[in-house]
Amino acid sequence: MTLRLAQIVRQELLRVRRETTSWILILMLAAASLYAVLSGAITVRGYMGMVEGSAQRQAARVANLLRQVESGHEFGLYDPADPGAVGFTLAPQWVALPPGPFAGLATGLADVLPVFHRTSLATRQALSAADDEEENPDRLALGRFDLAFVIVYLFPLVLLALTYNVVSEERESGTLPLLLTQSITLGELLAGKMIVRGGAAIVVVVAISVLGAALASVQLRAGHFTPMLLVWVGVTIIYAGFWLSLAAAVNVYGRHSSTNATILISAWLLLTIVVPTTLNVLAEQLHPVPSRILLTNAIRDATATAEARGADLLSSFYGDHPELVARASVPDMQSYFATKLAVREAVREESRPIREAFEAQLARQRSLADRYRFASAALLMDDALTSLAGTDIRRHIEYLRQVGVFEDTWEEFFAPRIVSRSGMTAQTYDSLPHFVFDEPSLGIAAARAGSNALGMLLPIVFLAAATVLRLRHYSPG
Amino acid sequence: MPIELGAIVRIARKELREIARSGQLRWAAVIVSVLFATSLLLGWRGQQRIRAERDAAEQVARAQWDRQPPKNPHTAAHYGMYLFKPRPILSYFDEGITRWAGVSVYLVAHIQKTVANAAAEDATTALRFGTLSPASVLQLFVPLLVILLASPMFAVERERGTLKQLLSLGIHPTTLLVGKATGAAVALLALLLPALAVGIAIMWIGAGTAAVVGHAPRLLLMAATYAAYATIWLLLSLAISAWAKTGRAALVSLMGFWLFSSIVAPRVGADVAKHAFRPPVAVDLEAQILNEIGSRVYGQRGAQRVAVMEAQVLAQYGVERVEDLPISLIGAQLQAGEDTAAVIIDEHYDRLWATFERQHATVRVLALAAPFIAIRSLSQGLAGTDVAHHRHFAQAAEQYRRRFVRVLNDDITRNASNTDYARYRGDVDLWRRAPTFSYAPPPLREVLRNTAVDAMTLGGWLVASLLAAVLAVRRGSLAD
Repeated sequence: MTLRLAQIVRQELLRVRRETTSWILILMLAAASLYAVLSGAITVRGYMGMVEGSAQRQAARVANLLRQVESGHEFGLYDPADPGAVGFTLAPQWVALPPGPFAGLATGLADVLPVFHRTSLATRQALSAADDEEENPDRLALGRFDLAFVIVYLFPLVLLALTYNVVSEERESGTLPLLLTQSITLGELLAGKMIVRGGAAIVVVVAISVLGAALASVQLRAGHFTPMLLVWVGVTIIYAGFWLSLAAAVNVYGRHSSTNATILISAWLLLTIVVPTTLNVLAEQLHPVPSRILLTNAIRDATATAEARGADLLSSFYGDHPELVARASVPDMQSYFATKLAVREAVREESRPIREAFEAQLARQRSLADRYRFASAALLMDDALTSLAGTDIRRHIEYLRQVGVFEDTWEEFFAPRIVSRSGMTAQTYDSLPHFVFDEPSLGIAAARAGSNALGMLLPIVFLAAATVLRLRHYSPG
Repeated sequence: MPIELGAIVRIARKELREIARSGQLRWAAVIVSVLFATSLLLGWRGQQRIRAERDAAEQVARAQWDRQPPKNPHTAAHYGMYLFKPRPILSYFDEGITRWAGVSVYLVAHIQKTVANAAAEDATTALRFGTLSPASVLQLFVPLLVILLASPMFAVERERGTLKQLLSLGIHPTTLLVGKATGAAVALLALLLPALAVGIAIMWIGAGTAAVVGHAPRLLLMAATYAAYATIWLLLSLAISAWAKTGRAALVSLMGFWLFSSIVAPRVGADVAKHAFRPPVAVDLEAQILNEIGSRVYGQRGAQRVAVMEAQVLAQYGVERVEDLPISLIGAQLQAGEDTAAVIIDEHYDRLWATFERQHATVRVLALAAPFIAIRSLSQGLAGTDVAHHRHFAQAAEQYRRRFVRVLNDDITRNASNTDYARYRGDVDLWRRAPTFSYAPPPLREVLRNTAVDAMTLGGWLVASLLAAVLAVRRGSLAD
């Protein structure tokens, strides 16, 4: 930084400190960010409570079953020593997607996508409804007030409000020619003002992001917190840079302050509202995702034979009510579970290709729609923050994949025991498989954020070049 | 005040001339019109695709049910059937919560399933930015256009000094207000009426005369609602324009209010509602219902419960042995279980819906500060895409599920043997006897009752903005 620039910065700092409007804007930004961060922290804690609560209930349940096995009593139909009873009904496994690195800071689709499932041999989760909180669709439609919202929508407005007239005002009040005679170039003046005004808003948002990350980040492996936070801060600064360079260009190309304001507000409206909402509708029509209701029907068609066979096999157990059989005789529960297992495997094999085709088609359409984000800095920024927060679609797809793998593991664990009719012992209970989400490398999220940042850097370079070009022929009059 | 009709017309004409001359306004009008037209076409197209998909799926699902091989009717009840939520025709205009709410419900013995598979689950995170729809254009962008149009009307004239001249000519300030409002309103109508006509034409071409006529009351109410909403923004803009020192100050404060009303307040409302009223966790809900069915009524579970029930049925028919019963004990047991479950299910789901209702009420409080929230609720209600309609469908589906399962259980009760139940089979005649689901959405009367609060809020805003505008122009220092 040259000496003159430092001097401009100092003067501008003094000046901004006296501006009531700037103070109000910065304070409002701080208040909104703080609220968002606290609300996010509460949400994440609530979710963690739900996950931990179910994990504890599950552990208590298994311990209780084990006690029953060791006591050697008779237990009627659902015997904790019977692997079928355990695998199908007695010990459902709760699986959950742990909150991402900064889950509380960017909701993404976390409250829409199923992230909490109860699995057993009786379920097949990958395509079924979620077991997490029942959500009010109206609340989902209204939107979220999280730090990502504040950063994507409100932060640019504050930046623009602080900088829309940095040059035009000096000209309108007649002070610009005076300033430029003091061996200060217009470029230095513009840069100094942008640094001070943009910097003030950036400092507030970054500080509260750090606070929020500390409050709302959970389960982040030690040593990853700081690098992830740095990426978060980095994209935030680049996003701010985008809006500041836009304001700078408008300042040197525009004439009156009010024209600048109109142009910048229009740009904000265009990039945060018009373009994203229009692209969402367009993407949906150009790349329609395959229909889940048709999928449901297709799977039922494919599995009809397996199910019909199953219904027949299970009829001696009164369909699915062996407790009703118990009135007349003691049902052979081991054959009951063996039959159910056979039906389950047949259904799975029949439905697998359909499911896989659906998922492939869905992934294709999504990745096509995904490219549209490069049309707006706001879309890029939101996507970057959601990826860093771990509330994006990619991490969720990975979760569903791992749930599928876990269900197979669960089945592989029980199938031979059900078939060979070997009883559950303390040892088998100890070796029950558990679901642990294997967090995909955080580098993937960081890389995504990085590519989005590049998408923002391109227009920044363009705007900066346009500004510099104009500065050469700028007449202060 | 004397009605100065001639003056009003002159003022309105002058405003219209200025509006027509402003390049900025022309551009804004073009953008809003293009967005509106695009949203109408895309909205209709998307809706038609989804409606066709849904109708096809419904037929397939029913055919799957009818095609079942002979099996025990209760096994069939566990196989179950899928229902798909119909999409109301006006959803092309305002899709409301459609994307965020489930579309299919699995009907199965013993338990109510929630309506699942929301479109949002298959979207990308960009969906959080919202989607363009005719309703969102009217709710979000038309107010902006109104602000751009009306915020300079007094303030700029004051800056130029022409306001003082006008008043010194003896023109009453209220006449001035009416004239300016008329000018702006004519300009807006010139823009929006053709757009509205296009919207209705699309519906008329796409769905026929009967659909348009059948929806006429809703369409008229919607038009009135949006007219009121635009008027609120117009009067507010004029009021602020009359108060503000400069045109720029008027524009900035109105934009600030727009931002609060349509972007910030709805989200704050949703967030506060989330923390204030927590809905139950879905698995817990189902587990609780099942537990209560098992324990609350009989006091025991499993086999003991079966024994209690058996004693009851034997006593009811005055026989001692199951073999002597004129009906199938198992059929009676299954249906008794359903009847018990129905009460418990209703209790739990009523609580869930009440939680949603309380969340909605929380958001509604914010409508007192943000007219966007009121118009949003009203418009969704009239389009048939709000939570009340979703609930209506979910409950109709559940009532249907109970009739559906009862037909199967009754068949078992009448026909199955008490000694050889496992061999009993239902066949295609029984499958076909299962009732068909025909859904009638709630009548307009009910919609009006549900949205009365929103209508009153919007009415309140209308009165308040009118008062604000009149008071603003009548204050002594209007020209200074």
